[in-house]
Amino acid sequence: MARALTEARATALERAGNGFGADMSLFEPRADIMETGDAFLLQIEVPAVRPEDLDVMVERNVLTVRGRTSAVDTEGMTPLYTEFETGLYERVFKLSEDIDQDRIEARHRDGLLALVLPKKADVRARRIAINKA
Amino acid sequence: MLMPTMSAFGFDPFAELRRLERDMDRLFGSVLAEEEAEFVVPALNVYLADDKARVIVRLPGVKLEDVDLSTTGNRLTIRGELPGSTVRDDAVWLRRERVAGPFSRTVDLPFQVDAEKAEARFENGLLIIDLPRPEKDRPHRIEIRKVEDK
Repeated sequence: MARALTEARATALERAGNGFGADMSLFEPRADIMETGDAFLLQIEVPAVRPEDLDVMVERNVLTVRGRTSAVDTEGMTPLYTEFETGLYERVFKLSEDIDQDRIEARHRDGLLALVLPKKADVRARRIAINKA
Repeated sequence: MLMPTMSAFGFDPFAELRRLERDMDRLFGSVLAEEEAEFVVPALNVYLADDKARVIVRLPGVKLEDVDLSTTGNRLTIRGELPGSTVRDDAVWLRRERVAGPFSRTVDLPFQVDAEKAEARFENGLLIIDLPRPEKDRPHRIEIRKVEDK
């Protein structure tokens, strides 16, 4: 992975303080990461998470994505077959100085979280015009 | 077994291994394994009530129009395509964990369902399918008449 964006694991201490309670299962959501000349693009799968239960935080070069899944209402019904359960999603990334932390954008749609991490202007790739000799 | 495609450079070191596994499965005639190898298998939960079944499938990034549902008797089949991440022309992959491609799941329910009255919707990347049980097929309570002692 690029030096500008490295993955970090949350410490047990951070997890204990997340306010979601220690009895919930913790999942690491699947993520796609791409780099362009001016930004890093992340697409993270967060199905079953309501917009209000999704949290994206940047603190001291650490980007944390957290979400708590909600169970679909099945009151009065009995489970026949279950392959997934409710729990907590968490993924932590360390950001380098190359990323403009004040301009990070997040969009949530269809159970996907899309993040755009722009690079600082002075580290962006520039195309150099080649003069014909 | 289907392994998630994990590749840092767009090159998949497990592709050959999967192909080999698929060939082996075919050789030994494992129909189920063949189906799993060809399709992505999204996780699902099934709940039952007296009057309906509710199937919940985890499908982040999928839209209702991209899903095809069909029923035969008590069997529900869900098919579609996981679109994968949008890729910009100037982008380079750094990490690829999300699975993309066609998916298919078949669920056998313990009762017949009324396909005409089935309803499906998406909620935050979860596909929720409600399949009503035909009225005449639903369990009904039998009144127990007390017989007077003689």
